Amino acid sequence: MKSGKAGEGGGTIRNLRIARAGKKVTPKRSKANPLRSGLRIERVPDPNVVVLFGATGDLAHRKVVPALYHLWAGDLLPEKFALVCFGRRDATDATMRTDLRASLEKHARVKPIDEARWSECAARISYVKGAFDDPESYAALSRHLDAIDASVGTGGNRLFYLATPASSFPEIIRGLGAAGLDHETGEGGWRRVVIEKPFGRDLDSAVKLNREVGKVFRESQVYRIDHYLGKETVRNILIFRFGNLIFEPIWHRRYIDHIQITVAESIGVEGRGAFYEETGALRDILQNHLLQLLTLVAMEPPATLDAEALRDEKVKVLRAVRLLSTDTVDEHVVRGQYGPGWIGATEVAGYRSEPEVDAASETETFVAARFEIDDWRWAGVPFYLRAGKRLPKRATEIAIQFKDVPQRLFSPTGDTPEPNMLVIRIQPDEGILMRFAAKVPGLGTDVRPVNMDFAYGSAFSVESPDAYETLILDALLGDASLFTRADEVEAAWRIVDPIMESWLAGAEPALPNYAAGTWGPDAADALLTREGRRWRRL
Amino acid sequence: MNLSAAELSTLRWKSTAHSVAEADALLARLWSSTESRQQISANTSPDDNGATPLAVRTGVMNLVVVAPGEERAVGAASSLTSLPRNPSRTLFIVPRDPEGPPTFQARLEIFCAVTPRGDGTSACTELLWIDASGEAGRHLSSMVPQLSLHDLPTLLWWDHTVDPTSRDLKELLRGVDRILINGADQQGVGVEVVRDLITLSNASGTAISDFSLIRQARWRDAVASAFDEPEVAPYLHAITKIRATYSAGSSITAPANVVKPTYHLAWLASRLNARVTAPLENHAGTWSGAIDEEGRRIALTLEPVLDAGRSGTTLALHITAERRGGVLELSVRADGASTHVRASINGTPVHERTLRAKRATDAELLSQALELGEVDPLSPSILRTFAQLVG
Repeated sequence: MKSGKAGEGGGTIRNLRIARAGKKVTPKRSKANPLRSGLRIERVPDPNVVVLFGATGDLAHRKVVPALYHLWAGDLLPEKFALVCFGRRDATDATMRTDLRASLEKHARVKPIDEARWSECAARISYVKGAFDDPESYAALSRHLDAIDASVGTGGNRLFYLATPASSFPEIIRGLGAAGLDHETGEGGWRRVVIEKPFGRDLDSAVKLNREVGKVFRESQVYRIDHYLGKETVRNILIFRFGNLIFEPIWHRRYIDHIQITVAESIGVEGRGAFYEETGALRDILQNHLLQLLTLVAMEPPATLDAEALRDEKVKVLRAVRLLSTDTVDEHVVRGQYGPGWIGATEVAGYRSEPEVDAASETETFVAARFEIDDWRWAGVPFYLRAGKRLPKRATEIAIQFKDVPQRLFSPTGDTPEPNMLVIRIQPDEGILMRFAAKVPGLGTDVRPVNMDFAYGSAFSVESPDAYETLILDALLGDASLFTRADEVEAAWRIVDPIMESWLAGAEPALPNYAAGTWGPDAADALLTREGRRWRRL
Repeated sequence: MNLSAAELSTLRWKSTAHSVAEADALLARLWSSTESRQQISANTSPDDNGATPLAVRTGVMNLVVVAPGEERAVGAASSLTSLPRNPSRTLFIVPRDPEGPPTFQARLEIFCAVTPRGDGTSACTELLWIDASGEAGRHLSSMVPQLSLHDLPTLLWWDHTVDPTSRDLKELLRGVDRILINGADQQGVGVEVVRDLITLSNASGTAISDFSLIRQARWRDAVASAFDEPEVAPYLHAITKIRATYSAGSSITAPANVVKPTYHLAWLASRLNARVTAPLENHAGTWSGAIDEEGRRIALTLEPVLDAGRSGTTLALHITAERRGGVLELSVRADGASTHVRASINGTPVHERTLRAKRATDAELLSQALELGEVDPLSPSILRTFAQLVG
């Protein structure tokens, strides 16, 4: 086989070595700034403009702008940065800044607001009035962005953040595409789009949305944000699993009996009745947050931590989840809706009495489901997922219940020790708890479970950033690891679709079926008790 | 558990001891017996079931503070109270009267706070105030290991001038995970003391944290941020001169402690992966040396400037780089509230930025030092280069 360059005497290793002997080899240098290595901030984004659609809306004021302010105040944004707010309302740069400053007072994570830092940040904010369906608005936006590139030096790098109702996504995406705002420039200017959940209402709509987005942006330009993935403890699941040797060997059907994942909220719909009527717990929590947590717990170790490798493994898990048929949904899924009750010594109304809620609503405020993952690691291990509103307390956790020891060695006449349990607490009181058996001091051999408890608050004094800060910074840095890929979204809907179809086709449910302030309907308990298990007391 | 200043205010137990063994035994007995643990919890009301809530000792670390006098020890304790989390056990050791008879006296205190968990559990931290006189004060290595909690990392805060020739310090370093010093407080020009301590700590495998180095984080952020800029970045590997000016106080020729400005040079050299070719030499207060980055010589200078500020404090950092006919001049300055970066190419300004970064307080520095735990991504390479620069 002849393959070497002319003059190098052929491509054998020997010839190449001889040809290169004596030549000075300059090692390739990384483009990363070595002075950043080991510093508090190891990377900062390129100069850029964030274009915020829905800038006058709740999400922008509550989450996105406070996150950008905190990033700016923490010197995590480049000096050459601008925020362009795009909205339908009449506003000016000045009024927009005033409105955002007022919102910051309510929603900033760190108070008081640093006025000097806010002033710097505010000076970079401008407003463009436009309609999402008006091509001229996008042309005006494009001219405005070009002017910022020229005056600020943002290099054509643009992040389009869609903090709008999901129904507006397709027309904004189309508008951006028609104006050529999706085109990445040859000089290195990048274009990215951030889309907020929900990513569709079912599989069909998710596929359609992905198709619409895909007509304009390449998948590598799309950042679908599920803020749960930006939470410190959720990110720690990967470190816990793959940064420690001792857990992975027992992370297996041979040792694990079952896994429970809970997202419990004590609040009701909090004035978002109309939104919740169209969503429900299944779409709002299970389809995204709960299934995301499931993928992180169940995934195989990725080859690298890059976005594609990580998301490939998550998709594999979702594809391995055994799909329910409409016939088996009732056996594996329980829905509930809260009636009136008491929480924290306060009487609260039932869901059907909430503002903007139909008095005969069939929307579920609670869902519990049993899933199985058909792969070699998890075959036969049930995953119990539950989420609900107006439960007795706010708690999100993953509980891994290990199997019993194989022999009753210590108490031949009594109980076996309780099996081990590992609990990853996501909120509140973030931490990890390991439950194991210990001997009760004394002459006998009584065994009792004890806890080994790690709490984030006691181990680290560093304050965690808000999930939005983490995710927006990642999007600006071009790291998509914590964002959901199109096939991931569709795989999750494929799991949820049969449940929705079964409910639509079934008889009218007997709702409400649990009182506010309780742990959901009795049927949710039965989901486990019939298999000799029970939900963990939280 | 987090015990902040306000929460630390509850003294739950105190005692005295006249020997290391007695202090050790008193504390061990306290935590091993249910009765005495209840004594610590006694200030807490029983819960609804009538059970007295538990008191537990935090599992963070041992901190050993060696201070030259009572006043410094109290100052250190004051810094501790404002930390977001506290060591499990802190030994405040004040060696006294080195020529007197050997004595040991300790005041033992346990402070607790009810945790935010809601089950009434108290998290406690122990303070041991130790006066050691005569030979006892010169043999700290004989008492620290015995009074340290097993299996927790031990941080030695040497709030004192360092004598790297001390046999006791050498022994002490063998039993601690990290020593915390302030290089800027060392005698003379300071750099030789720090260099010798680096050698000593390398032998014992003990990490060094220096307040002077930690304090410079805002300078490093500022310099690094300048080289993030597209116009400035290409000059990073074309540096020809690094010059730090420092306060000489009221006399240029009087010896000033130059640990701080030397750290700037060591940081840059270590990040550029440069080799020290000429260690720093002092000529009437101006120190000169050189490093080599891939065959390119970089001249280093520490230059004294008459200034009312504390002698040895860095006043400015100047970096010159030359590339394809362009000459970059970068300067960084800091004041109490911020750092200022200015860069120009061939005299034309290309970058100017003020980064808001307050000068860290002692408590903040201590907190950062404690938080470094066993992993410090920066210090080892800087200290290695520092030692080479000092020669």
